[in-house]
Amino acid sequence: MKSKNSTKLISKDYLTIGLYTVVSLVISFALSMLTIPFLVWAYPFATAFVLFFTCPIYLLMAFKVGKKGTLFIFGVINGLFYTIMGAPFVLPFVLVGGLLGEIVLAKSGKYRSFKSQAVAYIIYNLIYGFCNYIVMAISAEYYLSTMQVEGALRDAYIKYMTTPVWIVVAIVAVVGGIYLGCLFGYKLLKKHFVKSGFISIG
Amino acid sequence: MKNKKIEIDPRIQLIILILMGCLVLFANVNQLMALNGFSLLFLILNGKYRKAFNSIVFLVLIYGMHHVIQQSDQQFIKLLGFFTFLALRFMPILLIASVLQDVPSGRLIASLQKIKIPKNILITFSVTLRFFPIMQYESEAIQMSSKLRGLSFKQPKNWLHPLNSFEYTIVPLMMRTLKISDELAASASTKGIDYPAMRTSIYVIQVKWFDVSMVVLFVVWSICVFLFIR
Repeated sequence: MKSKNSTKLISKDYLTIGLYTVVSLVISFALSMLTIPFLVWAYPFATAFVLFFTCPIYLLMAFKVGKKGTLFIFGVINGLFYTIMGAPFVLPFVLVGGLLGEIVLAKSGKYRSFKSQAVAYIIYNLIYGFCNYIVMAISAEYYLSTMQVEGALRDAYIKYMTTPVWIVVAIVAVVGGIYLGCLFGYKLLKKHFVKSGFISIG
Repeated sequence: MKNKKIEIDPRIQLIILILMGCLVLFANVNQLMALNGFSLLFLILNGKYRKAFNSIVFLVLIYGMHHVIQQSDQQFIKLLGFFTFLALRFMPILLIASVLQDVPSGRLIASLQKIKIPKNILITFSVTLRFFPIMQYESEAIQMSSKLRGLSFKQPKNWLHPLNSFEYTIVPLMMRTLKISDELAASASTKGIDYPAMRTSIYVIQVKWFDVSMVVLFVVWSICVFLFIR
Protein backbone atom coordinates (compact mmCIF):
# COMPACT_ATOMS: atom_id res chain seq x y z
CA MET A 1 0.00 0.00 0.00
CA LYS A 2 1.07 3.52 -0.62
CA SER A 3 1.69 5.50 2.49
CA LYS A 4 -0.62 8.34 3.37
CA ASN A 5 2.05 10.96 3.10
CA SER A 6 3.12 10.03 -0.39
CA THR A 7 3.84 13.06 -2.54
CA LYS A 8 2.36 11.55 -5.68
CA LEU A 9 -1.25 12.02 -6.60
CA ILE A 10 -3.40 8.96 -5.94
CA SER A 11 -6.80 8.22 -7.41
CA LYS A 12 -8.59 9.83 -4.48
CA ASP A 13 -6.84 13.10 -5.27
CA TYR A 14 -7.83 12.84 -8.90
CA LEU A 15 -11.45 12.46 -7.85
CA THR A 16 -11.22 15.51 -5.61
CA ILE A 17 -9.64 17.59 -8.35
CA GLY A 18 -12.25 16.48 -10.87
CA LEU A 19 -15.19 17.39 -8.69
CA TYR A 20 -13.83 20.78 -7.71
CA THR A 21 -13.04 21.55 -11.32
CA VAL A 22 -16.71 21.01 -12.11
CA VAL A 23 -17.75 23.32 -9.29
CA SER A 24 -15.42 26.07 -10.45
CA LEU A 25 -16.39 25.60 -14.10
CA VAL A 26 -20.10 25.84 -13.36
CA ILE A 27 -19.66 28.87 -11.14
CA SER A 28 -17.50 30.65 -13.68
CA PHE A 29 -19.95 29.90 -16.50
CA ALA A 30 -22.87 31.17 -14.45
CA LEU A 31 -21.02 34.33 -13.47
CA SER A 32 -19.81 34.99 -17.02
CA MET A 33 -23.42 34.87 -18.17
CA LEU A 34 -24.13 37.47 -15.50
CA THR A 35 -21.39 39.76 -16.79
CA ILE A 36 -22.45 39.73 -20.46
CA PRO A 37 -24.87 42.70 -20.18
CA PHE A 38 -22.10 44.82 -18.65
CA LEU A 39 -19.37 43.94 -21.13
CA VAL A 40 -19.70 47.17 -23.06
CA TRP A 41 -18.77 49.30 -20.07
CA ALA A 42 -16.63 47.04 -17.95
CA TYR A 43 -14.93 44.51 -20.18
CA PRO A 44 -11.49 44.57 -18.49
CA PHE A 45 -13.05 43.92 -15.10
CA ALA A 46 -15.32 41.07 -16.12
CA THR A 47 -12.58 38.43 -16.07
CA ALA A 48 -11.35 39.62 -12.69
CA PHE A 49 -14.89 39.56 -11.32
CA VAL A 50 -15.45 35.97 -12.42
CA LEU A 51 -12.05 34.78 -11.23
CA PHE A 52 -12.53 36.36 -7.81
CA PHE A 53 -15.27 33.87 -7.03
CA THR A 54 -13.36 30.80 -8.22
CA CYS A 55 -10.50 31.46 -5.79
CA PRO A 56 -12.10 29.89 -2.68
CA ILE A 57 -12.80 26.72 -4.66
CA TYR A 58 -9.29 26.48 -6.00
CA LEU A 59 -7.73 27.16 -2.58
CA LEU A 60 -9.87 24.51 -0.91
CA MET A 61 -8.90 22.01 -3.58
CA ALA A 62 -5.22 22.87 -3.39
CA PHE A 63 -5.11 22.66 0.41
CA LYS A 64 -7.14 19.48 0.50
CA VAL A 65 -4.88 17.68 -1.96
CA GLY A 66 -1.66 19.52 -1.11
CA LYS A 67 0.54 17.75 -3.63
CA LYS A 68 2.50 18.40 -6.76
CA GLY A 69 0.45 18.48 -9.95
CA THR A 70 -2.85 19.71 -8.59
CA LEU A 71 -2.86 22.92 -10.57
CA PHE A 72 -1.73 21.15 -13.71
CA ILE A 73 -4.49 18.52 -13.60
CA PHE A 74 -6.97 21.29 -12.80
CA GLY A 75 -5.79 23.07 -15.94
CA VAL A 76 -5.92 19.95 -18.07
CA ILE A 77 -9.51 19.15 -17.09
CA ASN A 78 -10.52 22.78 -17.58
CA GLY A 79 -8.90 22.77 -20.99
CA LEU A 80 -10.58 19.50 -21.98
CA PHE A 81 -13.96 20.92 -21.12
CA TYR A 82 -13.32 24.09 -23.05
CA THR A 83 -12.25 21.95 -25.99
CA ILE A 84 -15.48 20.02 -25.84
CA MET A 85 -17.47 23.20 -25.37
CA GLY A 86 -16.19 24.59 -28.63
CA ALA A 87 -13.11 26.57 -27.68
CA PRO A 88 -10.15 24.27 -28.41
CA PHE A 89 -7.75 27.21 -28.54
CA VAL A 90 -7.91 27.46 -24.73
CA LEU A 91 -6.18 24.10 -24.19
CA PRO A 92 -2.55 25.08 -24.96
CA PHE A 93 -2.88 28.19 -22.80
CA VAL A 94 -4.09 26.32 -19.74
CA LEU A 95 -1.35 23.73 -20.21
CA VAL A 96 1.33 26.42 -20.27
CA GLY A 97 -0.31 28.26 -17.38
CA GLY A 98 -0.60 25.10 -15.33
CA LEU A 99 3.03 24.21 -15.95
CA LEU A 100 4.29 27.67 -15.00
CA GLY A 101 2.16 27.63 -11.86
CA GLU A 102 3.54 24.22 -10.96
CA ILE A 103 7.09 25.48 -11.39
CA VAL A 104 6.41 28.32 -8.96
CA LEU A 105 4.90 25.88 -6.48
CA ALA A 106 7.76 23.44 -6.85
CA LYS A 107 10.29 26.23 -6.27
CA SER A 108 8.65 27.26 -3.02
CA GLY A 109 8.02 23.64 -2.09
CA LYS A 110 5.10 24.50 0.16
CA TYR A 111 1.87 23.24 -1.31
CA ARG A 112 -0.16 24.26 1.70
CA SER A 113 0.98 27.83 2.01
CA PHE A 114 -1.31 30.70 1.09
CA LYS A 115 1.37 32.78 -0.53
CA SER A 116 2.71 30.30 -3.02
CA GLN A 117 -0.74 29.02 -3.97
CA ALA A 118 -1.97 32.57 -4.56
CA VAL A 119 1.05 33.40 -6.72
CA ALA A 120 0.70 30.18 -8.71
CA TYR A 121 -3.00 30.74 -9.26
CA ILE A 122 -2.39 34.32 -10.40
CA ILE A 123 0.18 33.14 -12.93
CA TYR A 124 -2.08 30.38 -14.19
CA ASN A 125 -4.99 32.77 -14.62
CA LEU A 126 -2.95 35.51 -16.23
CA ILE A 127 -2.13 33.12 -19.03
CA TYR A 128 -5.54 31.48 -19.13
CA GLY A 129 -7.45 34.76 -18.88
CA PHE A 130 -5.46 36.34 -21.66
CA CYS A 131 -5.92 33.68 -24.28
CA ASN A 132 -8.75 35.90 -25.52
CA TYR A 133 -6.32 38.72 -26.09
CA ILE A 134 -3.82 36.57 -27.88
CA VAL A 135 -6.48 35.07 -30.12
CA MET A 136 -7.71 38.58 -30.82
CA ALA A 137 -4.23 39.72 -31.74
CA ILE A 138 -3.88 36.89 -34.22
CA SER A 139 -7.27 37.07 -35.91
CA ALA A 140 -9.42 39.92 -34.66
CA GLU A 141 -11.78 40.19 -37.62
CA TYR A 142 -12.44 36.48 -37.84
CA TYR A 143 -12.95 36.04 -34.12
CA LEU A 144 -15.48 38.84 -33.94
CA SER A 145 -17.43 37.75 -36.98
CA THR A 146 -17.77 34.15 -35.81
CA MET A 147 -18.88 35.27 -32.38
CA GLN A 148 -21.60 37.47 -33.94
CA VAL A 149 -20.31 40.45 -32.05
CA GLU A 150 -21.82 43.55 -33.56
CA GLY A 151 -22.45 47.22 -32.99
CA ALA A 152 -21.44 48.82 -29.71
CA LEU A 153 -20.12 45.60 -28.26
CA ARG A 154 -17.79 45.15 -31.21
CA ASP A 155 -16.38 48.65 -30.83
CA ALA A 156 -15.97 48.09 -27.10
CA TYR A 157 -14.16 44.80 -27.69
CA ILE A 158 -11.73 46.36 -30.09
CA LYS A 159 -11.19 49.31 -27.82
CA TYR A 160 -10.53 47.24 -24.73
CA MET A 161 -8.48 44.56 -26.39
CA THR A 162 -6.13 46.62 -28.49
CA THR A 163 -5.44 49.76 -26.43
CA PRO A 164 -2.36 49.18 -24.26
CA VAL A 165 -3.80 51.22 -21.38
CA TRP A 166 -6.86 49.02 -21.14
CA ILE A 167 -4.76 45.87 -21.38
CA VAL A 168 -2.65 47.06 -18.46
CA VAL A 169 -5.84 47.88 -16.56
CA ALA A 170 -7.12 44.39 -17.26
CA ILE A 171 -3.88 42.80 -16.04
CA VAL A 172 -3.94 44.84 -12.85
CA ALA A 173 -7.61 44.02 -12.35
CA VAL A 174 -7.00 40.29 -12.75
CA VAL A 175 -4.03 40.25 -10.40
CA GLY A 176 -5.85 42.36 -7.82
CA GLY A 177 -9.07 40.41 -8.18
CA ILE A 178 -7.38 37.08 -7.66
CA TYR A 179 -5.33 38.32 -4.75
CA LEU A 180 -8.44 39.64 -3.02
CA GLY A 181 -10.29 36.47 -3.96
CA CYS A 182 -7.55 34.34 -2.43
CA LEU A 183 -7.63 36.43 0.75
CA PHE A 184 -11.39 36.02 0.91
CA GLY A 185 -11.11 32.32 0.18
CA TYR A 186 -8.43 31.87 2.81
CA LYS A 187 -10.61 33.53 5.42
CA LEU A 188 -13.48 31.31 4.37
CA LEU A 189 -11.34 28.20 4.65
CA LYS A 190 -10.08 29.16 8.09
CA LYS A 191 -13.60 29.87 9.27
CA HIS A 192 -15.32 26.77 7.98
CA PHE A 193 -12.94 24.04 6.91
CA VAL A 194 -9.89 24.22 9.14
CA LYS A 195 -11.91 24.36 12.32
CA SER A 196 -13.93 21.32 11.33
CA GLY A 197 -10.75 19.45 10.49
CA PHE A 198 -11.38 18.86 6.80
CA ILE A 199 -8.14 20.44 5.72
CA SER A 200 -4.91 21.54 7.33
CA ILE A 201 -2.97 24.70 6.65
CA GLY A 202 0.68 25.22 7.21
CA MET B 1 -37.13 -5.11 -26.12
CA LYS B 2 -34.69 -3.14 -24.03
CA ASN B 3 -31.73 -4.92 -25.54
CA LYS B 4 -32.65 -3.59 -28.93
CA LYS B 5 -31.70 -0.07 -27.95
CA ILE B 6 -28.78 1.14 -29.96
CA GLU B 7 -25.69 1.84 -27.91
CA ILE B 8 -23.01 3.81 -29.63
CA ASP B 9 -19.48 3.11 -28.53
CA PRO B 10 -18.25 5.84 -26.12
CA ARG B 11 -15.11 6.32 -28.17
CA ILE B 12 -17.21 7.18 -31.21
CA GLN B 13 -19.33 9.52 -29.12
CA LEU B 14 -16.24 11.27 -27.84
CA ILE B 15 -14.88 11.70 -31.36
CA ILE B 16 -18.17 13.16 -32.55
CA LEU B 17 -18.29 15.42 -29.51
CA ILE B 18 -14.81 16.82 -30.11
CA LEU B 19 -15.40 17.26 -33.85
CA MET B 20 -18.64 19.04 -33.08
CA GLY B 21 -16.83 21.27 -30.61
CA CYS B 22 -14.41 22.30 -33.35
CA LEU B 23 -17.12 22.75 -35.97
CA VAL B 24 -19.35 25.11 -34.01
CA LEU B 25 -16.39 27.44 -33.81
CA PHE B 26 -16.66 28.09 -37.53
CA ALA B 27 -20.41 27.99 -38.07
CA ASN B 28 -22.83 30.86 -38.57
CA VAL B 29 -26.41 30.81 -37.30
CA ASN B 30 -27.97 28.80 -40.11
CA GLN B 31 -25.15 26.29 -40.10
CA LEU B 32 -25.52 25.99 -36.34
CA MET B 33 -29.17 25.08 -36.78
CA ALA B 34 -28.17 22.32 -39.19
CA LEU B 35 -25.60 21.01 -36.71
CA ASN B 36 -28.31 21.10 -34.06
CA GLY B 37 -30.35 18.95 -36.42
CA PHE B 38 -27.64 16.32 -36.34
CA SER B 39 -27.55 16.39 -32.54
CA LEU B 40 -31.31 15.90 -32.43
CA LEU B 41 -30.99 12.93 -34.78
CA PHE B 42 -28.30 11.57 -32.48
CA LEU B 43 -30.60 11.93 -29.47
CA ILE B 44 -33.46 10.18 -31.25
CA LEU B 45 -31.22 7.32 -32.36
CA ASN B 46 -30.21 6.87 -28.74
CA GLY B 47 -33.84 6.68 -27.70
CA LYS B 48 -34.10 10.01 -25.88
CA TYR B 49 -37.37 11.08 -27.44
CA ARG B 50 -38.51 13.31 -24.63
CA LYS B 51 -35.30 15.28 -24.44
CA ALA B 52 -35.25 15.58 -28.21
CA PHE B 53 -38.77 17.00 -28.24
CA ASN B 54 -37.97 19.53 -25.53
CA SER B 55 -34.84 20.62 -27.34
CA ILE B 56 -36.70 21.08 -30.61
CA VAL B 57 -39.14 23.45 -28.91
CA PHE B 58 -36.30 25.31 -27.22
CA LEU B 59 -34.26 25.59 -30.41
CA VAL B 60 -37.16 26.89 -32.48
CA LEU B 61 -37.90 29.50 -29.82
CA ILE B 62 -34.30 30.66 -29.63
CA TYR B 63 -33.91 30.70 -33.39
CA GLY B 64 -37.05 32.82 -33.76
CA MET B 65 -35.86 35.15 -31.04
CA HIS B 66 -32.51 35.52 -32.71
CA HIS B 67 -34.15 36.67 -35.92
CA VAL B 68 -36.37 39.16 -34.11
CA ILE B 69 -33.32 40.53 -32.32
CA GLN B 70 -31.35 40.84 -35.54
CA GLN B 71 -34.10 43.01 -37.02
CA SER B 72 -34.18 45.53 -34.19
CA ASP B 73 -32.04 48.66 -34.12
CA GLN B 74 -31.72 49.08 -30.36
CA GLN B 75 -28.18 48.57 -29.14
CA PHE B 76 -29.22 46.88 -25.93
CA ILE B 77 -31.45 44.38 -27.67
CA LYS B 78 -28.59 43.59 -30.02
CA LEU B 79 -26.57 42.58 -26.98
CA LEU B 80 -29.17 39.93 -26.26
CA GLY B 81 -28.41 38.52 -29.68
CA PHE B 82 -25.08 37.49 -28.23
CA PHE B 83 -26.95 35.38 -25.67
CA THR B 84 -29.13 33.63 -28.20
CA PHE B 85 -26.16 32.98 -30.44
CA LEU B 86 -24.22 31.45 -27.55
CA ALA B 87 -27.21 29.27 -26.70
CA LEU B 88 -27.48 28.05 -30.28
CA ARG B 89 -23.77 27.39 -30.26
CA PHE B 90 -23.71 25.34 -27.07
CA MET B 91 -26.83 23.31 -27.75
CA PRO B 92 -25.42 20.74 -30.22
CA ILE B 93 -22.54 20.03 -27.86
CA LEU B 94 -24.70 19.81 -24.77
CA LEU B 95 -27.10 17.42 -26.50
CA ILE B 96 -24.35 15.03 -27.54
CA ALA B 97 -22.69 15.31 -24.14
CA SER B 98 -25.98 14.43 -22.48
CA VAL B 99 -25.93 11.07 -24.28
CA LEU B 100 -22.34 10.47 -23.22
CA GLN B 101 -23.33 11.33 -19.66
CA ASP B 102 -25.77 8.44 -19.51
CA VAL B 103 -23.26 5.79 -20.53
CA PRO B 104 -22.57 3.57 -17.50
CA SER B 105 -19.19 4.57 -16.13
CA GLY B 106 -17.87 1.02 -16.33
CA ARG B 107 -18.58 0.99 -20.04
CA LEU B 108 -17.10 4.45 -20.49
CA ILE B 109 -13.85 3.55 -18.76
CA ALA B 110 -13.60 0.14 -20.41
CA SER B 111 -13.98 1.71 -23.81
CA LEU B 112 -11.77 4.74 -23.34
CA GLN B 113 -8.89 2.83 -21.77
CA LYS B 114 -8.53 1.03 -25.09
CA ILE B 115 -7.31 4.18 -26.77
CA LYS B 116 -4.61 4.60 -24.14
CA ILE B 117 -5.87 7.68 -22.39
CA PRO B 118 -3.87 7.88 -19.14
CA LYS B 119 -5.91 6.17 -16.45
CA ASN B 120 -5.85 9.08 -14.04
CA ILE B 121 -7.08 11.59 -16.59
CA LEU B 122 -9.71 9.05 -17.58
CA ILE B 123 -11.02 8.60 -14.04
CA THR B 124 -11.12 12.33 -13.48
CA PHE B 125 -12.84 12.90 -16.78
CA SER B 126 -15.55 10.28 -16.32
CA VAL B 127 -16.31 11.43 -12.79
CA THR B 128 -16.39 15.04 -13.90
CA LEU B 129 -18.84 14.32 -16.68
CA ARG B 130 -21.14 12.59 -14.24
CA PHE B 131 -20.96 15.32 -11.65
CA PHE B 132 -22.68 18.13 -13.59
CA PRO B 133 -26.28 16.93 -12.98
CA ILE B 134 -25.45 15.98 -9.39
CA MET B 135 -24.19 19.45 -8.74
CA GLN B 136 -27.37 20.95 -10.13
CA TYR B 137 -29.38 18.72 -7.84
CA GLU B 138 -27.25 19.63 -4.82
CA SER B 139 -27.42 23.34 -5.47
CA GLU B 140 -31.20 23.16 -5.77
CA ALA B 141 -31.34 21.54 -2.37
CA ILE B 142 -29.02 24.20 -0.94
CA GLN B 143 -31.06 27.00 -2.46
CA MET B 144 -34.22 25.55 -0.98
CA SER B 145 -32.88 25.39 2.55
CA SER B 146 -31.21 28.78 2.32
CA LYS B 147 -34.49 30.25 1.14
CA LEU B 148 -36.16 28.91 4.27
CA ARG B 149 -33.59 30.75 6.34
CA GLY B 150 -33.92 33.90 4.25
CA LEU B 151 -30.38 33.69 2.86
CA SER B 152 -31.02 32.73 -0.74
CA PHE B 153 -29.63 34.55 -3.77
CA LYS B 154 -33.14 34.68 -5.16
CA GLN B 155 -34.30 37.13 -2.49
CA PRO B 156 -33.43 40.69 -3.54
CA LYS B 157 -32.54 41.88 -0.04
CA ASN B 158 -29.52 39.58 -0.04
CA TRP B 159 -28.07 41.32 -3.08
CA LEU B 160 -26.97 44.10 -0.75
CA HIS B 161 -24.23 41.94 0.73
CA PRO B 162 -23.18 39.67 -2.11
CA LEU B 163 -20.06 38.30 -0.41
CA ASN B 164 -22.05 36.94 2.52
CA SER B 165 -24.68 35.41 0.25
CA PHE B 166 -21.92 33.87 -1.83
CA GLU B 167 -20.43 32.39 1.32
CA TYR B 168 -23.75 30.90 2.38
CA THR B 169 -24.16 29.27 -1.00
CA ILE B 170 -20.64 28.10 -1.68
CA VAL B 171 -19.68 26.68 1.70
CA PRO B 172 -22.44 24.04 1.82
CA LEU B 173 -21.73 23.20 -1.78
CA MET B 174 -18.04 22.70 -1.08
CA MET B 175 -18.83 20.65 2.01
CA ARG B 176 -21.08 18.38 -0.03
CA THR B 177 -18.41 18.09 -2.71
CA LEU B 178 -15.87 17.06 -0.09
CA LYS B 179 -18.23 14.39 1.21
CA ILE B 180 -19.07 13.12 -2.24
CA SER B 181 -15.44 12.90 -3.28
CA ASP B 182 -14.63 10.93 -0.11
CA GLU B 183 -17.50 8.54 -0.73
CA LEU B 184 -16.56 8.10 -4.35
CA ALA B 185 -12.95 7.44 -3.46
CA ALA B 186 -13.99 4.81 -0.91
CA SER B 187 -16.28 3.06 -3.33
CA ALA B 188 -13.72 3.25 -6.13
CA SER B 189 -10.93 1.79 -4.03
CA THR B 190 -13.11 -1.14 -2.96
CA LYS B 191 -13.52 -1.82 -6.66
CA GLY B 192 -9.76 -1.91 -7.08
CA ILE B 193 -9.17 1.31 -8.95
CA ASP B 194 -5.57 1.51 -7.76
CA TYR B 195 -4.68 -1.82 -9.29
CA PRO B 196 -2.15 -0.95 -11.98
CA ALA B 197 -3.05 -3.49 -14.66
CA MET B 198 -5.62 -3.01 -17.40
CA ARG B 199 -9.14 -3.46 -16.11
CA THR B 200 -11.41 -6.13 -17.43
CA SER B 201 -15.04 -5.34 -17.94
CA ILE B 202 -18.41 -7.02 -18.25
CA TYR B 203 -19.19 -4.83 -21.23
CA VAL B 204 -18.24 -6.05 -24.67
CA ILE B 205 -16.34 -3.23 -26.29
CA GLN B 206 -15.93 -3.27 -30.01
CA VAL B 207 -16.61 -0.85 -32.81
CA LYS B 208 -19.54 -2.14 -34.85
CA TRP B 209 -20.68 -1.18 -38.32
CA PHE B 210 -23.27 1.07 -36.80
CA ASP B 211 -20.66 3.14 -34.98
CA VAL B 212 -18.63 3.58 -38.13
CA SER B 213 -21.69 4.57 -40.12
CA MET B 214 -22.50 7.14 -37.44
CA VAL B 215 -19.13 8.82 -37.93
CA VAL B 216 -19.51 8.68 -41.70
CA LEU B 217 -22.97 10.19 -41.42
CA PHE B 218 -21.60 12.96 -39.22
CA VAL B 219 -18.76 13.77 -41.58
CA VAL B 220 -21.01 13.79 -44.63
CA TRP B 221 -23.59 15.87 -42.78
CA SER B 222 -21.10 18.49 -41.70
CA ILE B 223 -19.50 18.71 -45.14
CA CYS B 224 -22.94 19.30 -46.62
CA VAL B 225 -23.70 21.88 -43.95
CA PHE B 226 -20.60 23.88 -44.70
CA LEU B 227 -20.90 23.55 -48.46
CA PHE B 228 -24.55 24.30 -49.00
CA ILE B 229 -25.85 26.39 -46.13
CA ARG B 230 -24.83 29.99 -45.99
